[in-house]
Amino acid sequence: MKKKVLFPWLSIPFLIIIFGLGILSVVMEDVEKSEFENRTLQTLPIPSLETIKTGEYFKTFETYVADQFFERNTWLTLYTKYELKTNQTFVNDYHVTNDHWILSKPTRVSDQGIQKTADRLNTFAKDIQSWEKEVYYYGLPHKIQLVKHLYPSYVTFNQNDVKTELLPKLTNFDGTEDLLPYFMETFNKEELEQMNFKTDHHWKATAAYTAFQWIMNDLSEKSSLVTNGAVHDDAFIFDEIDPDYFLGSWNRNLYEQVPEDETIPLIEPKDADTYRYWRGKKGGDLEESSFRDIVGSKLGDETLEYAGAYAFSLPHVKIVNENAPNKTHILIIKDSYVNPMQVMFAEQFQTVEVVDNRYITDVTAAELVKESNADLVLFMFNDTNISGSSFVFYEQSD
Amino acid sequence: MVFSNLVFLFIFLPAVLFLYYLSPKAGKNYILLLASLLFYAWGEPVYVLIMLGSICMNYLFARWLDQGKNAFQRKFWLVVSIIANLFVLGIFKYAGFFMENVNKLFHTVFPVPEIALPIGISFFTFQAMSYVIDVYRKDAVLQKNLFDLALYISLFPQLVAGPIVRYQTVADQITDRIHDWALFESGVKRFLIGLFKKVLIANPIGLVADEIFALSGGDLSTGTAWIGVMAYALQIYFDFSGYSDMAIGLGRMFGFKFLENFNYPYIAQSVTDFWRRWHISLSSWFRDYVYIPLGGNRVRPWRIYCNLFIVWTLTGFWHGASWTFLVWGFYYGVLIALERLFLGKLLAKLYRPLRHLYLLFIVMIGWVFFRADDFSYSFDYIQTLFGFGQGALFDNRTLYYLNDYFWLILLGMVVATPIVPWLGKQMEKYMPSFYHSIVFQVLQTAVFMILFAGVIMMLVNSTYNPFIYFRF
Repeated sequence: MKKKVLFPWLSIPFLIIIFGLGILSVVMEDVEKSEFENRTLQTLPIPSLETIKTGEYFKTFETYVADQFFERNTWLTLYTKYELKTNQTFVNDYHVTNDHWILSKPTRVSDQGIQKTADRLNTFAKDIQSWEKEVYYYGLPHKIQLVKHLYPSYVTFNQNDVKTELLPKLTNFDGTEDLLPYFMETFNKEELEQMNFKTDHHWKATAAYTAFQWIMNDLSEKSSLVTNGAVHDDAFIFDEIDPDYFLGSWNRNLYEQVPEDETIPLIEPKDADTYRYWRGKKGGDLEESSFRDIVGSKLGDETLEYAGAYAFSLPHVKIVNENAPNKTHILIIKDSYVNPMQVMFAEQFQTVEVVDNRYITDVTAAELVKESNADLVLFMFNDTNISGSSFVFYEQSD
Repeated sequence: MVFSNLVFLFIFLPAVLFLYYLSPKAGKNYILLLASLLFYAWGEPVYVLIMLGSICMNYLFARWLDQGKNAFQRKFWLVVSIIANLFVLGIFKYAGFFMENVNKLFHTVFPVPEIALPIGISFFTFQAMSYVIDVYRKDAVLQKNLFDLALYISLFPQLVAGPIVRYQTVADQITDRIHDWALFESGVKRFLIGLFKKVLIANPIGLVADEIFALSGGDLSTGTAWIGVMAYALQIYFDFSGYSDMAIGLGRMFGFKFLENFNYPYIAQSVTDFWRRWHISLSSWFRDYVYIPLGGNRVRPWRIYCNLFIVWTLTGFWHGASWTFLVWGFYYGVLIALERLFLGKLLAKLYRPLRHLYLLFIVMIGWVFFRADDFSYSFDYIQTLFGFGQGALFDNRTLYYLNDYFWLILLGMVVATPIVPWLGKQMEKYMPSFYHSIVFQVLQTAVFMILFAGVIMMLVNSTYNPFIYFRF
């Protein structure tokens, strides 16, 4: 007997949803950028005979519909919540512990990738030496290495070991060191946890200060250009701020679904505001700036991030401290792990130049170092950053 | 285009439904035909020409066959049409495989053609062949309207991944079909069930299978290998049966009633039973158009077994141009022959759960050959399954997959049985007033809409959305 349907219980809501969301997605204004994912969203593609023939147009159109879907962020947040609630080991490639530590999925750079980085560094170091500058490489421990005990026991921590895999290949440097063993041998798990942000991918200023002290000591032993390697705590202000909201970078990638109220330790030289500061927008030419424009530029904001609390990754920064104990000019090629340290180095060196190779566009790193009066060039990268654009020194970035 | 895609769900489908139900009866087939061509052309527009060529070719063959003045002429055009269809399929699907093997066998260096496989070519070619054969056998009346034939072959719900709809089963519906809310409602329900199977179960479980089958021997532990093969067994079932559900559901939304393609195959108790429940439209196609013409069961016993080997090897080969598919098909041919010979009787005496275990074991071993790219990997994988591989019994990866996917695999195992419809029937039997109440309808709608929201959430987030049966 044919079933009698009194009311299309499923059909009506189904039709409302497919027509409603379809129409809303079409009529709503396109969004240009996803703040959460830090990427540009696909805009409506223009068809051409070639892109239609190759099928590229259809793929781009599908990306466009997914990127511009009605309330896309809400759907993505819902998905992240669902993944977190179902206790997935990795959510968007992040592991979230019960006490709100966010840890990225360990990844390995291949042997070929490491060799490529080593070759690039060696080529550059050889040139730097030919320009009569000393050159050193310091590997800085990454957060996930320092707190790797927080991963579930079944996650294989296969991150590269810079000390054994990269440093032995760096043959053209005056000195190479990896600070990870020092941290692991010196501090217990609790102290290591204290040194890192739970929801961000960076360490805290306390860890940076420890690394700074260690590097100064090492340089004073290895380089005749560093006559004073002693760092005195009383030359620095130690403070801790509790912003209304600390937005960790990895929490942002998880659509801010990990509720964690974090405090931020600040360590700055007492006389940092007496130094002179310059910044380059794209590298090359520098414009005079100020202490709070470079260091802790967002400290008063309600929502604070690592960069706002310490320093943004600017293409090129120069700090001059006429009263520094070492009358040396150093140039640091670095990633964001160095940001809290740059002003610390200014307490010790008369001139500190800091270059973030990923962001300089007008000149190449090689041109910038060659033109610089620096006596000492330091490469400082966190130990997970051992390949990619940070190590392209002879080509301009986009 | 695939069904589990935002463009299909929120642009293509609403637009086609709107135009279809707005158009007068005479225009409905044209709307569907245009939509089907657009659906097929989406992504790979050039291949639509191959499908159109196949449609025209089979339209003409059937006409010439129908006009044949005697049995010889009719048979002649039938044979020509079969050769032509198989030639097209052979060129696009098997030419590279054939040349590779010729070169290996005769140590020659003939160039191996690298021809991309047009989506769904195996499905629409088999549908087209069924039309000409049905006309030859007078099981169907000649379709004089080229557009209606084009609609039968290209109808978008079943175009790219089946079910293989035989012409005689839909011939009347093409020209005259009923549209009502009851059919539409059942179509929506079936479509949503298929969508859930595909997006909420097959896709995430498929990630596990893909990762595990990409591991090399030394990295694969026994525990992980079992998770991998279980994940693949569930992925392929929910992927393909989900697609069939969506196709059947969409068909109903447009007034078509397609035959079933799956009937809970993993609850089968023998291989013979399994193939009565898995990809029914393909096995019945081979039964009706290959096995029975070869003599079927009405020949001497040795011929029956010979026919079984032929049909099942061809079934395997239909899935892809590779020796692993051929052996996979032959494997089932041997098992079905053995069951026919004596194994079936032995199985019948076994405790029922043991019969299920036998079937699941056989099918999972079969999936290893089906999934692996070559025999060497298949044999290594099977060795690992039984603890003879290079890897440990279990490792961190096993624990990781168990932590993340245990509940999903368990859910898949439950939904692969008819327990949910059984519960529905029990409720209807013992709580009829509640079952037919508005409250129950509202609850059911709420559950479906929550799951639909889950699908949208996954689709907006996920770029991992492959359909396994597309490559066939």
